Amino acid sequence: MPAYRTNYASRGTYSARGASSSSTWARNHNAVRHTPKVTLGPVSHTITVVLIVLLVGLIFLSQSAKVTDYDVAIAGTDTEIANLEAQRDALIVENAKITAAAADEERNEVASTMVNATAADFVKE
Amino acid sequence: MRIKQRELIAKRGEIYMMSGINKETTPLVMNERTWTIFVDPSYVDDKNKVQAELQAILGNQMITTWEKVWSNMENMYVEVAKNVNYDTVVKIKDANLKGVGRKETSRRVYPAGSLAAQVVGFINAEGVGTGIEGSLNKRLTGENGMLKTVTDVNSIPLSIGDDNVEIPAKDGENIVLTLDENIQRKVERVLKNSVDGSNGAAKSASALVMDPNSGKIWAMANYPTFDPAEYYKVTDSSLFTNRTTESAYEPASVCKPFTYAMAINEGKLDPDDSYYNYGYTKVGDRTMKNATGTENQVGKRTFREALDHSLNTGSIQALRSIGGENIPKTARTTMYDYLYNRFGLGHTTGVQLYEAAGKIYSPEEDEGNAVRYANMTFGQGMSLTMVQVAAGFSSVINGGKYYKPAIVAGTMKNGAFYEDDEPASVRDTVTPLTSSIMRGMLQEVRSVNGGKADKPGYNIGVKTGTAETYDESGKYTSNKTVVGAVGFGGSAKEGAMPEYVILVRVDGNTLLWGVSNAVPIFTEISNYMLEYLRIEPVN
Repeated sequence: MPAYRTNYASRGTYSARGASSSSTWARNHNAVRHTPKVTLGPVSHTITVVLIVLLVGLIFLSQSAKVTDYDVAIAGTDTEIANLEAQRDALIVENAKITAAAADEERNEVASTMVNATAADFVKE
Repeated sequence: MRIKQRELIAKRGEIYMMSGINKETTPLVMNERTWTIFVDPSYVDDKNKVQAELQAILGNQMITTWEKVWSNMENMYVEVAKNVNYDTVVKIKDANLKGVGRKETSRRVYPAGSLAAQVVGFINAEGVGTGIEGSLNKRLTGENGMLKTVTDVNSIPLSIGDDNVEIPAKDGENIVLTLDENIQRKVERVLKNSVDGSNGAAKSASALVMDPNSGKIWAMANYPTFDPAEYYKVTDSSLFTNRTTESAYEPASVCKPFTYAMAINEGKLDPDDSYYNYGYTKVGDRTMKNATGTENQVGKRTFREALDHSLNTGSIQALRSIGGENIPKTARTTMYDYLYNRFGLGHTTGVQLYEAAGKIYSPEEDEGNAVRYANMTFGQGMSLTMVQVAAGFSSVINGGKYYKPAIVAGTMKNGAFYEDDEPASVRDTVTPLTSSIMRGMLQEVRSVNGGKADKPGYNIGVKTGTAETYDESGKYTSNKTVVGAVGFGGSAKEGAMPEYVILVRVDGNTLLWGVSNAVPIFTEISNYMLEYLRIEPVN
């Protein structure tokens, strides 16, 4: 058995404060218990409980449905990413168009003025 | 708090082609983000401001008038411009106009313009496609996804919540074609110059350039052509037809190499054997003549000479050599086996494009008689597509290996090219010896018919064809012909194999000849290929 169980058992002589006071009437203590005469009936009680539940529910909903700073930041970043992607895609397409035009002799002024080579040297094995 | 759900549209796959001999790729069809701009008149506070600023930004991109926009102020959606590009949409966004909205769309763009237009094709508004866009539509389309998210009243998504669902869209595959940008451009230019320079004699021209040792198609071109970005403006729908795969025709004497390869492979004919050419021969109740201009060839001729001068009597005699004078069913069955089963003629090849099947009559059919088979020896009486002929011819000259023609080289993923496995030969058609003999015969044909136009130091072989067409009464007429040339080129080194095959077809408005109308196209492309592939000449 663990040591603390042993220690706990050694405290068997402890007596609570209330235990001793319950047997003696202390000064200035009310001797008469006052019980209010107005009590909640079953209907009022139910209404109160429902209201409390509603209140708690509203608090929960208002807090859970509220965007946090992070949500706003995330949404803003997403928009920025989408804009940059759109910009990137537009540049890729533009680049492809320019590259294709450059590769086409008919659309490329430099290439269109070139002449065919009359002789080609080949590496001999 | 509200739940928003929307479909995540899969990006349509892009189409690329090869560029250069180092396996680089270049885009042929891309997607461009565009926007539709709309006005919600019921939400507009300041009409004058919206009209003035939007008009200044959009200019002639407006697709409606402002009178129509403001005609009903209870309207909530009036489109004012479509396919607006990124720069313009940014200006509209920055203008911050109340009651003006934008909707993202996408459109296909063609950086290379009309290059390979019939191969690329398009998908119309009804989802009906042509070219690769149609034949590989499923691979290009991908699969849409779904996004369900909880937002606040300002449509800002909440980062926490069990109701957020995202099923990503699966984008379509980016397809890389075997077409080579440079060869394709060259071929298209040659076809254009040929047709435009014919003074109306040529109606259209098509050409195929293929790697005979893999079946990969390097160029597939048709002229006249169209701009796929504006296909809806085309009034002649025949321009959409890829005649190399979708149009079956009678290739005529271009098919004679198949006949000779069959007879040689069967061991029934030696090119140096001879026969007597009367200028005509009788088959059944028909008299079949040689083409005009071969009258001086009457006499004893070898089969080499018969091919050199494209004598129809010679190819009929080659068929007779495997079965007898009357071309019996056994001979026809053998020929059918070679043409249909071995050389892959008269049925689709399996290339990843829309194809016409064509037709070769079987000896089992009534139409598959001796007369028809005699005609078929010189490429009439059957209908074939160019891709069938090019693939079959490749097997005749590449050592006897048939490769299925291929137009798809692989796919692009994250900017990297993933090449499909190198295609394997599907079957053997003729023996390597037969193939070697055929190469020699075709080189001789070339040297007899305009070989001086070739760059020196290479092995070039060609066979031409001039096919009569049908007149309005359904009879053959020589007034209007379809001409062609099929050939190969490669190194002249000992044991070297051909490195390219070219097939040309020119449809005439009048009488054309293969030698004068198709061969020049072949020659120009062939000489270009020798340089482009950096094939070393032998002195």
